[in-house]
Amino acid sequence: MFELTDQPIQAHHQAVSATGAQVVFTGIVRDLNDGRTVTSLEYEAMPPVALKEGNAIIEEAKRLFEVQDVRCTHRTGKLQIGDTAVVVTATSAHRQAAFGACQYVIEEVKKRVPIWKRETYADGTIEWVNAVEQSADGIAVLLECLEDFEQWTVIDVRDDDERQSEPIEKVAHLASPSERFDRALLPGNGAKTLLVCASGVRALLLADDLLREGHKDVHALTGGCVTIRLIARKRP
Amino acid sequence: MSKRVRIDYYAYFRDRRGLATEEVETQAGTLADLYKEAAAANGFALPIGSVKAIVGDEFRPMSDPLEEGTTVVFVPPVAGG
Repeated sequence: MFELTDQPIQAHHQAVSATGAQVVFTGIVRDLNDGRTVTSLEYEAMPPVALKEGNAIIEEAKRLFEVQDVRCTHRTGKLQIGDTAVVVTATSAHRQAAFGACQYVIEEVKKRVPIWKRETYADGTIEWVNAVEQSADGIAVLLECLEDFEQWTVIDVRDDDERQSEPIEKVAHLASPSERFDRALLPGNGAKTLLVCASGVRALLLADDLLREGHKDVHALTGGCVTIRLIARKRP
Repeated sequence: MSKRVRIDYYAYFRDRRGLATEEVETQAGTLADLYKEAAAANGFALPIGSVKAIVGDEFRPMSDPLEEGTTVVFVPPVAGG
């Protein structure tokens, strides 16, 4: 049974007559996320689909593990630091199955159930967790941070379909997918090259190849859009 | 051909749009096309790969065709637990 509640979560064990083993996972609101101090948060759910998906996960856990009972209750609404956000209880004749089912449910709930978390930070900012904005302006912001940004040649090394769905705007740049990178695009006149991809991995590997081949001043945007987000956040 | 559909917004999208639901006229052929239109119109900055679509309480692939009269929910990245 999966349920949502806007009230403090009651312990499940009172509702289950256990034999053998009962494993309980309790998720508690933490005061730190991604290096920032959290002061409070709010969970929002889309009830019909959240209940349906949550119950599908419970049924999967029952098929995968030999358990008598699996329950998950997730909070909605405003919570303070130290409040219980979620409880998963798995009851079984043996502890291994109970541990397994409990872990399965919490991991899948985090990945699949339409529940969103809006955190308020000590500096007063409010953000939806995991809603990582990929601002095309981010690269413009990054370049402005460099004193000599006119000197840089920016090359987008993502695949064609990625580039079409998330174009880089407002920054003059070239494009050549890393898999078949066109070396003729490298400026070769002392200008610096910045390779950009989604996460930074492809750019980093390609920059390494190019430096080994003897090309000079080739750089990768390490961390991709994560870096851009951090820079954008620090900007006044 | 233009069609009329409803979009329901939750969490990030609702905050950005300033609305929980709206009806739109669209030329979009697929759910992905509709997301791109809505993103361009409202400044949604979540990459399409991180967004899921729900039609009639079911998760549907973004490549699904968009039917006249459908209610679509765009699901921003979830963060339960």
